Amino acid sequence: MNLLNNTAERALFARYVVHLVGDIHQPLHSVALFNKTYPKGDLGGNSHKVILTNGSTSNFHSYWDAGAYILQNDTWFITRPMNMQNLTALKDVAYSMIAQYGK
Amino acid sequence: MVDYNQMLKVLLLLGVQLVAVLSWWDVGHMLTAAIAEIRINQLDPFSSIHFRELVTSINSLCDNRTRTFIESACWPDDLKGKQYNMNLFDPWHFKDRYLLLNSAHTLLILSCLFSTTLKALLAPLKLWQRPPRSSK
Repeated sequence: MNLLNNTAERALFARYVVHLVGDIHQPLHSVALFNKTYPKGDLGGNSHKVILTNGSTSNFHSYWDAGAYILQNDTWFITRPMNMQNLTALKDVAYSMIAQYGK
Repeated sequence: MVDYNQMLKVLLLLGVQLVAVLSWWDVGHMLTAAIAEIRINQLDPFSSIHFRELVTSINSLCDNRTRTFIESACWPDDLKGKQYNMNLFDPWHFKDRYLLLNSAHTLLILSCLFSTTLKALLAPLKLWQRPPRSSK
C-alpha cells in the first residue's frame, strides 16, 4: 500500500478525521452533566441556557461552538471562505491558546 | 466492488449552489484545526504538507467554503446542513455512552493515572524486583 497515493476516499476520511478529532477536543463535546436539575443529562451543555451580554439567549454548547464569541460579535461574523483578516485573527487566537495551555 | 470515487463525485456534484451562510458553530472547529495545523507544522513538516495535500485534493468536489485545511474541518457539518442534507455519515458525529463509576472503577482509573508516580514512589522499596540469586 502506497501511503502517498491520494484517493478521493482517503481525502474524504482525512477530512472526517480533522472534524471528529476536533469534536473530541472541543469543550462540552465529550461530557455531560448529571445532577438534580438534569437527571437525564444536559446533553453536553445543550440543555443549559445562557444569556449573552447583548440579551439574546443561547445554550452553553452553542456558546462554545461559536468560539465563546471571541472572534464573533453582533457586527463581526466569520464567513467562509475566510478573508485574510479573519484567518489572521483565528490564527492569533490559536497561537495564544497554544502559548497559554502548552502541549 | 463499489467505485467510491465515482460515488463521491455523483454525491458531491449534486449540490454546487453556493450561498454565504452564516454558521456560528464553525469557529470552534476551525480553531481546533488551526491549533492542529500549527502544532503539526512544528512537529512533522513533511506529514503536514502531505496531509494538507490529501485534504485539499478533493477541493474540486467541494464548494468554496472548505478549500483549506482549517476550513475543511467544517465540511462534515456542511454536508449535514440544509444545502446538502446528506445523512450518510450522521451516525458518525456522536455516540452517547454512559460511563458509570463505582469506587472500584475509581480506584482502578486513579491507579492507572498515577501508575508512573506510584512506581517512582515505590522504586526504593524494590517490591517487584527479584532478589538476586545467591551464588553458591
